[in-house]
Amino acid sequence: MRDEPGRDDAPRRSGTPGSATSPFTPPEPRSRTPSSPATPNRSPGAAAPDDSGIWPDLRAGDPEAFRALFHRHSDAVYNFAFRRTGSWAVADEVVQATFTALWRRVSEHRVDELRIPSARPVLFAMARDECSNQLRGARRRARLVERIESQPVGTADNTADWVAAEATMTEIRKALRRLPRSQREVIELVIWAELSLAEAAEVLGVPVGTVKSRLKRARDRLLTTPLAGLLHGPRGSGR
Amino acid sequence: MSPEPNLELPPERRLEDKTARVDRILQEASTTPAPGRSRQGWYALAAAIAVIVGVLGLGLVLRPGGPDVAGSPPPPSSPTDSPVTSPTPTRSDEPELLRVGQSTELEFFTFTLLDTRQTSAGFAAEIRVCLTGTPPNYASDSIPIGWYAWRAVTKRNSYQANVEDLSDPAFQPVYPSGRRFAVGECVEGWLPFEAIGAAERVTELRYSNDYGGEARWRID
Repeated sequence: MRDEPGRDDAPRRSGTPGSATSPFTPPEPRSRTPSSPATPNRSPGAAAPDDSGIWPDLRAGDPEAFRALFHRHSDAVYNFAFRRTGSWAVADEVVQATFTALWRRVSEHRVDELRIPSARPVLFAMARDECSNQLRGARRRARLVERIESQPVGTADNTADWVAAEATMTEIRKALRRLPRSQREVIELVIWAELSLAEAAEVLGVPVGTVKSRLKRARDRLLTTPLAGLLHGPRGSGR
Repeated sequence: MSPEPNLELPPERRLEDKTARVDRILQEASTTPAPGRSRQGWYALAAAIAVIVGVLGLGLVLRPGGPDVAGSPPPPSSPTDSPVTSPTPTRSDEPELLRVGQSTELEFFTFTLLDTRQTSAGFAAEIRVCLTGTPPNYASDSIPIGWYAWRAVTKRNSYQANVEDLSDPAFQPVYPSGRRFAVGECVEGWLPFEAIGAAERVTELRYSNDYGGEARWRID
């Protein structure tokens, strides 16, 4: 089975406030055993999508594998991009650009084997670049604005929520500037996007220990401030 | 106590119309040739033109009453002669790959990659920049220069610099970030990429600004 709609829709976190799992405790790496080769170190209860079965098909150019991957991970990329850019519209662009780039790589046989069983590090690393690309060029921004303005706005009942979320996210990004970029990134990846330490390390191209120490430093710094709530991750997930 | 209000992360959203979106990507990919295939098309076109020009040239030499190659002046060149001698139509948008120590003169700027350094804190490149002009109708005689236009490329990723979050004193003086420069002014500084671990090797340093200026350096 390629697509796993049940997994796609399943709640992914358990570390919500008040739960037994403290959101301030970094998930410890689990040792990999032959019987559990696909177990990344993520919060207990979180469903870790295993893409190791689908990835070879994708690399072989199977569009159905690509579809399945898109259904499985596009929401995660979308929310990751939103938290990085503070804009739903830009996040939408990032999703499109990321998966388009992935499919282009597939067609050019430039997709490597997965080093860990999740495709998220690959997708997030690409999305991370796309976020920078989307935000960097003034010309791109101008084109984007033109396109967005020409598109119908979302339904009236949720537009206000979207705008409020963008305003909140902008405030959050501003407040988090007190942390070094490297520490902000691990918060984005490990706490907000719920990647395992190993997955985050893959995205950033650093050792797992580095991710862990950056996360610890970030937590130590935020824990006693009003920003501690940001260490809880997303509330009321739409998943 | 910090002055910020208690902030909470906004709830996540789900993308709508996933099926339509993924269909669109697959459809666009099938109608838009990939860059590699596009290059292959140009190669084929160049080869075809070369063959035609070659055949025409041979016909010109062999035809009765044709030009005396030894005694006649060369025929004036025409645009149809050019494909075999001019740069191939496979022109890449990539700028020339420079070496450490080499400079590039872009519109408004001259950049030199002076040195590179890899420490436990990450990779860093020492850059010299000189402002040589300003865009037409530019409101000021100075331009802000920053790190955002630079990227370090490794085999599997590319990274932005993190000038403002510098942690390694070996990367001082730091490359200017957000400071305005006057025409004729030059400055040097280290551009750190602290997200790059020691296990990852930087192969290329890239620069791309909003004025269309691009440059690349090979890192050995």
